[in-house]
Amino acid sequence: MTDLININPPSGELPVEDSKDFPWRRVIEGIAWVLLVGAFIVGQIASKPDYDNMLRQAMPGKVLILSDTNDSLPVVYRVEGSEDVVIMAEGEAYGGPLVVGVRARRSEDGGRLAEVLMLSHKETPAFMQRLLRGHFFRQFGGKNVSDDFIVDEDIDSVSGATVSAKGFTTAVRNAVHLGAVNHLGLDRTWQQPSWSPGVNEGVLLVLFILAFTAGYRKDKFAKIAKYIVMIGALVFIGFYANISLSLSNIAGIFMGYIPSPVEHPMWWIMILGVLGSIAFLGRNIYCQQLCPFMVVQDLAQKISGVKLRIDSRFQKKARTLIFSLSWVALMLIFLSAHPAMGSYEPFAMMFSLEGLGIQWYILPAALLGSFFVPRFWCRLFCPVGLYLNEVVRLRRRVRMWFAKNNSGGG
Amino acid sequence: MARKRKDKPWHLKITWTLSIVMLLLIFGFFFQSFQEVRKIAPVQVAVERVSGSTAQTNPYKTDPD
Repeated sequence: MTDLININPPSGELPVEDSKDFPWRRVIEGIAWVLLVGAFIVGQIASKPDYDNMLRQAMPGKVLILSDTNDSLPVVYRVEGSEDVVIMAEGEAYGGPLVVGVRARRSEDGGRLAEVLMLSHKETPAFMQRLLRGHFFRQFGGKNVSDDFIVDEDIDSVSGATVSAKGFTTAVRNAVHLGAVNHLGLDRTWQQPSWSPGVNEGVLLVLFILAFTAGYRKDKFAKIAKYIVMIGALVFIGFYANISLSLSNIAGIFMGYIPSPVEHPMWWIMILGVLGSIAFLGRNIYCQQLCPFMVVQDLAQKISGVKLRIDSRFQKKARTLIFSLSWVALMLIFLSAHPAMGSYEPFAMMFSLEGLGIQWYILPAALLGSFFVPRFWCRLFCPVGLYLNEVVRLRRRVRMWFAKNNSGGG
Repeated sequence: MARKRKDKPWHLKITWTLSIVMLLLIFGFFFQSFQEVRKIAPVQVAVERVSGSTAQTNPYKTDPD
């Protein structure tokens, strides 16, 4: 029995081509792949920001003298005519690397942060807006360079943008502590962040275990577990942590933006949990149970009680439509080397209520659609559902191939 | 045996309209993103200055102060 909920056209089979006809479909697919690869290469070459120049422009009136000949981060500068030191360093956030420039000043108690500049980030704009509105950045002003700079210890996070907050803090910590030891001559009195999974990681893990269990069992417990998972998905994965999977996560993996498991265990639990459920259960439990936007759509559907059907002609083309939309999105992502740039899903915005421009219209349109049509977004527009279901199909094909070969051999 | 549900024309009209509106919005988003891609030159990336208790500036602006 298939567990691919009908979020995409049921068959997904490509139409059989008449051998006499010119294979337009294959040609177009080939061109699409070539363009994607081209966009990726161009983006990687063109998106190397000149951080040195940016830093100098951002600190007008200060003459920065390179203290070492490092080409890669971290890079350290002295400020001519003062005891200040400026360090550029990198941290890993949810969307990718985040680069900061930090100016530290010698003080009686060692050194203080005089200025922090965010030179580049790959985060979803909604997350950065949330940090900004939560006055997250203000905490860094005037902090001692010997402080720990650890989120949830001496730095407060902002709910709904925890991972971005950690990425920014890590980049600042790397820069500040390097400057403190090498250039201000201070002793290491600060704590190092340790791998200590907390309550958040525990809750996410429990949600996955419950979702796995509900997938295996068919009894009353499974039903209760499903409800707990649905509520947990909405409240925790959605509103609290805001870690819905999106096209930017998938694109980020292809671009090599894989965060460290020590810094971002939730990312790893999410990715391994989703792929593990496909590998071991053959099910896409993310779309079936853990996607908070799916829960929102189901709630909208329950409230309205209206269940309109999608025109079968439109539904049949949904797979091609989503592939086409995600192709355009990936082109933008690869060209800009910014995973959040083309990610058109309304998830991050839904749960942070922060967004930019036209995203403010996509979210209400998606909600309005799901008021009338069950899982409107999932069935017609969601690239994550499509790709995860493609992985499920791939697994099924591999199993069939093995079964066929084994039966043939034995 | 399940009976085949007959769709009323206005049902399909609503779903078509919703789908087309959503498509237009998504393409609008792509256009907006494309504009952003063009705006962000390799050298000009988000710069934010956080100094003491000074006011926070928009991190999405592409030119440093």
